[in-house]
Amino acid sequence: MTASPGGSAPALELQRLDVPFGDAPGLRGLSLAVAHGEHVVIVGPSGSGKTSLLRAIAGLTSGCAGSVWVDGRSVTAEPPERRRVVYLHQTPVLFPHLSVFENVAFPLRVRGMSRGAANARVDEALAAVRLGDLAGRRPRTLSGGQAHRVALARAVVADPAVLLLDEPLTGLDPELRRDVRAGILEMAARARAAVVVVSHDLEEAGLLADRVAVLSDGGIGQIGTPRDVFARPATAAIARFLGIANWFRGQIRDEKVTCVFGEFCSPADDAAVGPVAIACGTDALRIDRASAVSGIVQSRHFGVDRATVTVRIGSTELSVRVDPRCVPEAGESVGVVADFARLLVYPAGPEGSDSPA
Amino acid sequence: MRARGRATIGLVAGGLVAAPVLIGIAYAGLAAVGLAGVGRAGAGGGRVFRVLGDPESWEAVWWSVRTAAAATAIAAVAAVGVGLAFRGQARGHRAAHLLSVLPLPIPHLVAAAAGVLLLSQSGVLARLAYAVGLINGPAQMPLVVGDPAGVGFVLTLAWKEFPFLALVTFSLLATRGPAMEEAARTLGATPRQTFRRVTMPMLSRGLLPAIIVVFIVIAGSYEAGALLSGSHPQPLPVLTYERYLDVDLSRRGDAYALTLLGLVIGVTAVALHEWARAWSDDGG
Amino acid sequence: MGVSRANAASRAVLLAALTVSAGTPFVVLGVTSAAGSWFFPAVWPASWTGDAWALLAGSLGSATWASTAIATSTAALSCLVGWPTGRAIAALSGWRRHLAAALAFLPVAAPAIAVGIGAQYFFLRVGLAGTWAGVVLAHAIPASGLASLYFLSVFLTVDLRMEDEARSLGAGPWLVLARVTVPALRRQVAEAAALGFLVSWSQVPLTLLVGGGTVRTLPIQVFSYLHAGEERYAAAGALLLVVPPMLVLGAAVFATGRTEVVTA
Repeated sequence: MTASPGGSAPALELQRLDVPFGDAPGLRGLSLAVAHGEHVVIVGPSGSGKTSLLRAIAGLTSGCAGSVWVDGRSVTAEPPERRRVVYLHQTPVLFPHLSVFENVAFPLRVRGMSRGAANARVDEALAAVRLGDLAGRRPRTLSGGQAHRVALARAVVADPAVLLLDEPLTGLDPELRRDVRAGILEMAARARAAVVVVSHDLEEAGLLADRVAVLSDGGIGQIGTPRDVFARPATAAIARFLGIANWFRGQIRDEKVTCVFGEFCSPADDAAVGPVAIACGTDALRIDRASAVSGIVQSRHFGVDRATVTVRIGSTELSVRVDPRCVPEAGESVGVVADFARLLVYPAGPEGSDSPA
Repeated sequence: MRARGRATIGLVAGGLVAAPVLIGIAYAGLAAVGLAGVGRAGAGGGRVFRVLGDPESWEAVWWSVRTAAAATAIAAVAAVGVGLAFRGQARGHRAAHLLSVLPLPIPHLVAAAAGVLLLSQSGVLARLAYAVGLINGPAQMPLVVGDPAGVGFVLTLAWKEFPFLALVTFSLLATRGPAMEEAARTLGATPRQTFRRVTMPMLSRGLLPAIIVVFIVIAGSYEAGALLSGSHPQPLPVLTYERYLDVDLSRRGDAYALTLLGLVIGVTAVALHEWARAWSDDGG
Repeated sequence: MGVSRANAASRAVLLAALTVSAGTPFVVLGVTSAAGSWFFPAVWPASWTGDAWALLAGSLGSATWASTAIATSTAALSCLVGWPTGRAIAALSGWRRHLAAALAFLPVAAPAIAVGIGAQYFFLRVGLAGTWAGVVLAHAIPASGLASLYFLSVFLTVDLRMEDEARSLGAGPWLVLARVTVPALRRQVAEAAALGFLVSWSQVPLTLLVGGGTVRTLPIQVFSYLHAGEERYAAAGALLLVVPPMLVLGAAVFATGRTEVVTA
């Protein structure tokens, strides 16, 4: 029952998968390949069909077109139990009538393994999630974090090629988040499984992903490392979903973009002419007394590990990252400079749609 | 301090609601040993021993327990069957839910009346059997109303209690089922294994408190027993009431001992029910 | 999910069986209530009569009125007892809650005939035996237990932080109860009242024992018609007995799309 990665075949491959989502068309023509041991986080706004996608991969929904391949084998027509894909619900679903030990032994028992033969594997899995001494407990008596770990141990015992996780860290407090994240990474490494996570939470994506895929318009709008995707969103819609803070207008001509901060070369090499929407994060802007562009500080915001100020320049309000040790006062006049290399330039949408709602 | 006060209030409130029954038990207890009530015969355990030594008492207890168990079992099996056949979005599930639940609030008396009209030897079923040539007269129709075995009673009360168990089954399958069964499937269980290892344990634990309630209700039912049972043996509630109305005052006193017996069964069932609820919450 | 392996044909058979099962009693009672001469082996009555339904102006009418008044009073009384009891029990935890819930369950579970025999002596002593008030009080014994259990389940699940909110907004405890909690839980109160009504509406043994033959509710009337072999009158009365329960069920289904009002 050991995983036998089929040569170079990806652990999971989706080919032109259509996933209906309620009455809506849902996801269309989605293709994705995930390697053994790789972690892909699929992010998208609530209601974009993320859970439906996981259920389709696990074989829990009917009415999907396209094909699903696991380890180089098409499982499109297989029932859930023969796909080597384990789907973990958002909150752990443990069998309440079974003890922790019996829960973890479940995948082995349903494959016909005797209780005795299952013992060693279960003990090992429980030890790996540091729950060896809770084996006899009922699920109801476990804390949230313990239940998560039992569900993970049980999933790994099933020897999956693919682990599907539905928002595994959402709604957990920071300490539990760390705990569950460590459990996921450790268990996934043990199983050498491909891990596919769906989430609407970018923080979660950054914590778990080797690659991030952003759902947009019923398909994958962009896929890449978290660093690439977060730094260079492919479209204005993806940038907005990622919560890029600052939006202002500019003009493009001869591959030169002109905006309030001056003129710079367009990062894209198209020869468009006309208005553009420019976006950037708070750390692409900086307070600089020498700057010719100045504005009035409207308000100050302090986070745990950063501080920002809102500066009004003309009719535009921009959020600027500042050194927490010297934050300008509200009402103060400050100069602002932009790091041109980090400005994102998109074709301007319809009037008024290029600033965050 | 406040928490302690609240703890007492809740127990006192529960005790007040139970008070009429608790007082009734005490009174029946006193009356049973001859210290109170009609047919007071001076203190002594003689009456209790006479009732406990009377085979008729135990025949009544056995009749009530046996028929209640049979009717409950039939209703539970039917409820689980219908629930599984029409779970989720299965074709016709709306109609099945509605039809199953429809007779839910019908009084026992009405169910018993319909049972008599339908099942007696000259009842509607007998007439239909005659019309298609299965029988040649009322006497050939199997006796199920007023019979010693209590077949009519069992059928009628199984019909009466089926909706309640069906309702509980439907809600268990809808709320607890899908996620757990999906988890089982992706962990490698076949549909058959999922049914045996997840669905059935979940249903049996979830249903047990409701099954105990149904058993209690049937075992304590007076009017259906009075209309559908025979004169010997009688259901315990019917025997109790007949003793209570007996013209012989000493026999009338026996009713208190029988009452006590009925209440003991009731209290036992209540304890079982609380235990089953705790067990069901624990893992159902 | 493929867990239910019943195919379409067996489902169709089951649906037909459910239809027959749910419908037959009503058909039988309906036909019987209007059947004139209907002797074995006739499958259908030879003649029809409306004399049973004419009793609506007589014994069945007055019994219906008595039952309605008694059941309505019982419903109100059981809610008044059940609300605070359920709430107090919900505040408990651990074995205390189990014990208190078991106590509240006792009047529901104890055989009514046993409860009635135990209680009758006291009703006789205080002069309530044979009176409507006495019958209401007797019916309130099981109805209050049921209402307490019902409100217990309500208060275990309902988020009562709205009361804190209202208190901090300046409302006193009684004002909070009258303006916030009760209105917010009006559907639950209606369901509890419906339960209490149905317990009383279908009660036979407690009425027999405490009413002592002078309080003739509809079930008592039907019960005695059945004993006397007056099947036509009994069937008409039985159909009358079904009307309020069906209205309650219909209201519950209509109001919530669910069927939570339960009488075992």
